[in-house]
Amino acid sequence: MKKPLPQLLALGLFFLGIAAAPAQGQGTQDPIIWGADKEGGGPYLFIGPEGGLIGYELEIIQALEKQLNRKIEFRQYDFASLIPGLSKGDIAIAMNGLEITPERRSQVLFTRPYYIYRQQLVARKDEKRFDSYKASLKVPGLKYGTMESTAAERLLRQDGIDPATYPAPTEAYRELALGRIDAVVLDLPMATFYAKKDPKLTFLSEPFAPGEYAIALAKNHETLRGDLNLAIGNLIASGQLKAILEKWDLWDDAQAGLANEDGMGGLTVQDQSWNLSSYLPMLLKGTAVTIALTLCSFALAVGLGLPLALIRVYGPAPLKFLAICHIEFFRGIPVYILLLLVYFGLPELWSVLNLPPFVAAVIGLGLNYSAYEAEIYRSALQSVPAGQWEAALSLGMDRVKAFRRIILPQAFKVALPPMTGDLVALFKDTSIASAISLVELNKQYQILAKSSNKFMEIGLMTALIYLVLSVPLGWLSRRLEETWGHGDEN
Amino acid sequence: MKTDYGADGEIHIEGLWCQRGSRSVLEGVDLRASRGETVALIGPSGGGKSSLLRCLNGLNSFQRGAIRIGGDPLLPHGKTPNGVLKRVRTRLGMIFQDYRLFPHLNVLANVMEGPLSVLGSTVHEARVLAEKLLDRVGLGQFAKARPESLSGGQQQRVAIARALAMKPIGLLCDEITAALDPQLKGEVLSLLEDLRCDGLALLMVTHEIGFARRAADKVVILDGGKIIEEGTAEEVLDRPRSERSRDFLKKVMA
Repeated sequence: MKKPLPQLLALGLFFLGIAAAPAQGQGTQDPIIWGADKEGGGPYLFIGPEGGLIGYELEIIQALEKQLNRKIEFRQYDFASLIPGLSKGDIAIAMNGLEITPERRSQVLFTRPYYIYRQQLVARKDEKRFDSYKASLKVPGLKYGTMESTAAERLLRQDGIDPATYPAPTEAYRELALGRIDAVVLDLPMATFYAKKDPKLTFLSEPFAPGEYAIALAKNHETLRGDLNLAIGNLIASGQLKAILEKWDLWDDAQAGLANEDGMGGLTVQDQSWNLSSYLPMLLKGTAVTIALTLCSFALAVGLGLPLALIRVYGPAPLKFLAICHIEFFRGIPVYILLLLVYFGLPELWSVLNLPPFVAAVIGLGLNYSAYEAEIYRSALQSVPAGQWEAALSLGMDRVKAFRRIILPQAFKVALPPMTGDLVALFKDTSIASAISLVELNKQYQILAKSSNKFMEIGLMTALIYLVLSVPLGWLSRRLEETWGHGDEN
Repeated sequence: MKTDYGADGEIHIEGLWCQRGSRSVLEGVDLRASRGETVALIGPSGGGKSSLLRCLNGLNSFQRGAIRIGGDPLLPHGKTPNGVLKRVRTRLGMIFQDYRLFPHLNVLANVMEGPLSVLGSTVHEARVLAEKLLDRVGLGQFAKARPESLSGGQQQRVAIARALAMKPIGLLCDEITAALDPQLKGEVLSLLEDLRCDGLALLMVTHEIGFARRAADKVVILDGGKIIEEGTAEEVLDRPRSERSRDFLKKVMA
């Protein structure tokens, strides 16, 4: 019976070790993962001239790090996905000018506010039709812009406006300066940071519709919230927060409300409840845009692709070279970049080329697909044996007639299946047009899902709409193949 | 179906030189063919037989010499005006070894295509003519068939009907039975013998020595781009004058 003693000892040490492990860990706690979107821009968090991250929120975070004596680590996260990111556990806190709303409150925890924002209406300097937000509502046909998933977007929708939404404030103000939209409603910090120095733009009337920015946490992070609340309270009481906000030209009378621990309590922007009847009409509207975009782009692609293929196969050498350049260029560059070039780039060269998003998307997608169509037609034309030309010419047809009556119908039959395949692909590719603020089906889904947090329900609905449209398209293509493949012309 | 093309309803070839790249394929060829006459062009492959046919309807261009088809001259270097070229091509139908029917059209539409798109016939005229010609080549019941569903011999007969629909003065036949099985050759060759009676000039590149002997009014041996033997079937096939002709005939008749 001597043996068990060392064993028991070892066992005891083992358990001691386990018990000691957490105590050891407390000294070097894991950093808090902080999710924010540096693409959202200034003054919140953005890339400074020296290449590093800067922004008043970063400075608040640094002050909080000191208060908590714990490292806070930045993680880049898409602004509109911050709330789902918290629920998923990708990030522990979200701080990115995130407004407190009852809807978000039902999904996540909020700390006490660190900034009281208000909405600022910005218009062009020469604007004569309205001088305030209220007055602007009475002007018919006015186009508003804002950033997606913001309180401003909700405010506008609540007032029955369907605004153009952009992923970043810069784009909204740029569109305003270009005259594509008439007014931008955005949180005052963004307006101050981006629009104040633009000589073409002006602030109209006082800021309105106040609300609060606070740090969001996943529901099970009560303790951390308590710590953060204390830390923010300290920053407010010590004047550190005021110093940071003043440095960034953000301090105003409204910030007095921060002293109140519970915040303002009420909210000027109401919550929307989402159900089928509220989002389906918007999805269908997006669907209509997607269909129109598909058909117009495809018409352009076919209209350009056929002459390109003809030049490439039958044209003289210099033209052939140009056609090959066109095909290789538009096939080689990503369609996303092409859209940005057409929509944002062209107006830089010449202000007349200031195209509406739909037209820009049709041109971008049409040019991109014209390269693919041209290659389909080229190989289809080359698949018709040379003997068919000779047979047609021998009957006395000229080359144009031989092409139209003999070569083209045979090539068309060959080109039809890949063409319909491209049509389906283009139908799905139209989703990329959301990059230039065109709200088609995919973009509408993103907006609705992120606003309502019903990713599954609205996602399935959107998928259903895509299916309902692409399945008949596939059916049509098979029918066409059968008709053209085996039908009789007489 | 006689068509009046005036007195000069003939094929004239004089001093024809034809170059493909740096190689000369025809070196001074003289030949005549009148309506109702069948000329068999024989000779070793690469001798210039096909090139000669293709020069006659402008599919190949030539460098020197003169060609006149029913009074219309073809110009060297492919300079023949489009209107003349079109007239020449409607006067000379061309039949190819591999048929070359239009696969996207049915049999009837293949035959109607020329009159409709080149001669400006009405659909009714073209259909009546095409049905008549399909009966003539013995394929009336296949009017609605797709070309690829027919046998090689049947396809070649449709190709002949398609050429005849242009009411030509002559047919250029480029080894039109070479791709056919022996039993299918017969149906095409006997059809051609019939056509001679319609007053057509037939220029046939062929390896069928038996057919040449039976049906040709004139047999020509082309070798190295030159005519090395020309005469009636008996003269050329039985009493060839040159050594090269005798060598060639010995090989093909062995």
